[in-house]
Amino acid sequence: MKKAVTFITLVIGIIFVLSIIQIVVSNKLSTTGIVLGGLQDQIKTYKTENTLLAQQLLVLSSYNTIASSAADLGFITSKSPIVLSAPLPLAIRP
Amino acid sequence: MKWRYRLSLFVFLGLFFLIITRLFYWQVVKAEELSAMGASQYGKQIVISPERGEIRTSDGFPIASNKISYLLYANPKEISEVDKEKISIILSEKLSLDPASVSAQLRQDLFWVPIEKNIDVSVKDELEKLTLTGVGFEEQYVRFYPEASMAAQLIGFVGKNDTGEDKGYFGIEGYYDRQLRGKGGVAIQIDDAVGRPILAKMNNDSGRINGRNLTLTVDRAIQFLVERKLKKGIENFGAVSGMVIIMDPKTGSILSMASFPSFDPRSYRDYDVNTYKNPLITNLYEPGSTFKALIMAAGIDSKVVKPDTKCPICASPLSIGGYEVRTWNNQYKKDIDMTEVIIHSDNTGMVYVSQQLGIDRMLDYLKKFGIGDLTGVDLQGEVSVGLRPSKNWYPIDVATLSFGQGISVTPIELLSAFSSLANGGKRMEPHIVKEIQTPEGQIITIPPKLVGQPVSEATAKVMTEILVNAVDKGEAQFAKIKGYRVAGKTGTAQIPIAGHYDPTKTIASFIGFAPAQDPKFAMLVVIDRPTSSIYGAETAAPVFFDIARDLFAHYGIAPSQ
Repeated sequence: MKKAVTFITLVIGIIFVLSIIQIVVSNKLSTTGIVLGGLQDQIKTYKTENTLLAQQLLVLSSYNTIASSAADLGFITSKSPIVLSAPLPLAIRP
Repeated sequence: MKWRYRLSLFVFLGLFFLIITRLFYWQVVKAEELSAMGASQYGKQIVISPERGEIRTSDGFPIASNKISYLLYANPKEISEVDKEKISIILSEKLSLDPASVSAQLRQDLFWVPIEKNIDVSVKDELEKLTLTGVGFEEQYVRFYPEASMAAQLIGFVGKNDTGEDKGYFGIEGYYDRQLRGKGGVAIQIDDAVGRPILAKMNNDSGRINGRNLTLTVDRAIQFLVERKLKKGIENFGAVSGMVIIMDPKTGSILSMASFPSFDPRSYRDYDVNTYKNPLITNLYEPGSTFKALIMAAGIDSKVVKPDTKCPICASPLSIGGYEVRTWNNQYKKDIDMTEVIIHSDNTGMVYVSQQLGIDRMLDYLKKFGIGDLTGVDLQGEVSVGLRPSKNWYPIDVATLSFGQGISVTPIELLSAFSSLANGGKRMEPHIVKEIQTPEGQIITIPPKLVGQPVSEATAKVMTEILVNAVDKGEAQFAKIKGYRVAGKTGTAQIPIAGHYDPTKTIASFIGFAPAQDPKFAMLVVIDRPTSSIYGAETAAPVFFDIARDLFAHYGIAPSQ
């Protein structure tokens, strides 16, 4: 009888302690939403910034932009390329 | 007394039964509805649009990508009557809108009204600083073309379908719309009592799949230089329009496709709808003398003629079925051989070849060359006109067919057929997309496809030498590039109008491949109704060689002569 009472008391005690722990943990977790929200906003901002920078990069590296800038700087189209090496003959006598 | 106990028992049992029935109704029958109501109170559903796949040139540069823009919306119920007027004026000034229409939008009895879309990030930042009540922004992706209108007709554009969703039209955007489109998803965000997101079941992003990226065979550098040279050529020769297509004859990969007039895919609504079509795959024309290469190849392959076979009927104009067939310059050479027939573009010599072949064999070879069929290129809108059965060809039709009149082909059809001469007689299927990349990073390669062998390798070699002679000694010799062996043929085709041919207007063209001994590219240039000269040798040929010069430099091909 005494053992049963002890056992029941122990179980109730454990339940009580676990409930307290649950309340404490849930309480802590509930406020991480603020941090999480902030982090999510930051991620969104950086993603947007990345996309915008990538857009700018694409426009600056487009051939139309490069050709236009080159023309403004005074570059002209090459009329004839300079060939430094002659082509190999079709057949070589060893 | 007992009856009172029983009555009480029955009343309580009845009440319990009613309660249980009602509980069953709310917890089982209405479970879904109540669950949804609860979810809407503590969380919100966000629709996540998929990002459309990019279209990249062979060097990996995206010529069609996505950029962020903003949709400005307002919540009229949140804006006071006094503020509505003030906000209308501010928004109409900043966005160059009509104040009356903005004001009308704000006077609607709704929670959400769109004001303007495609707003740039700089304008959005400016408006956000003003902290206007009841005004917000939704981020959206819109199509973005870093190279502006380069290859516009090849790429196509993105418009809307009946339900307002993005849809590709024409070109690559249209043909590969399902691959590029992706699939939208829904995200559930659970908030606490004051609207902050909480950890459990956070942002359950389900179902969104971004579109697949496409890598084209098109070389961006070649496309850029071709468009410049073509535009210059059209202006110099006073032509109505022009087109150039360049293909790798060994794989069928399209290296460049350009035509003018064109349109700007960023503002396609401002252009005539006829400019959306890619004339290289949709416009039929009579190819003229460029077609002679195919007929001569057929004659040599079937051994009815050889390069040194002399033409016994070429000393004067030919009379066929009541019509007279003449050469383009009205000059005739007795005993002209087949090589010279191509060099001098002699129509009477080609009639002789057609007579030796016969219409059945000629049509058979043309079918093997793919004439009269779709090439199968992966672009939306390709057309073709089938060949008539042999019994429907009159003698004059057979004669004119031999020099490319009385038959209609698209430029891609002709180049695809001609390219087989540059590839040992093998015809490859033209294609634009070489790789598809899934959102997970998997690469799906599209291999080259052999579709036929219209002529033997020996015939292809013989035709190559004949065409090199045509460039070196023919009418286009003054435009050719010194030191390089180029195989090619000029074309000056009359334009049919109302049952006869217009004597003053032509479609001038030049088709060829180089270097002749190991072709890196095959190219067709078509100049429509040039006014400075009607001849292909004086209009299309110079454009061809102008482009070819830059292609040799691009590929690092040294002169071989």
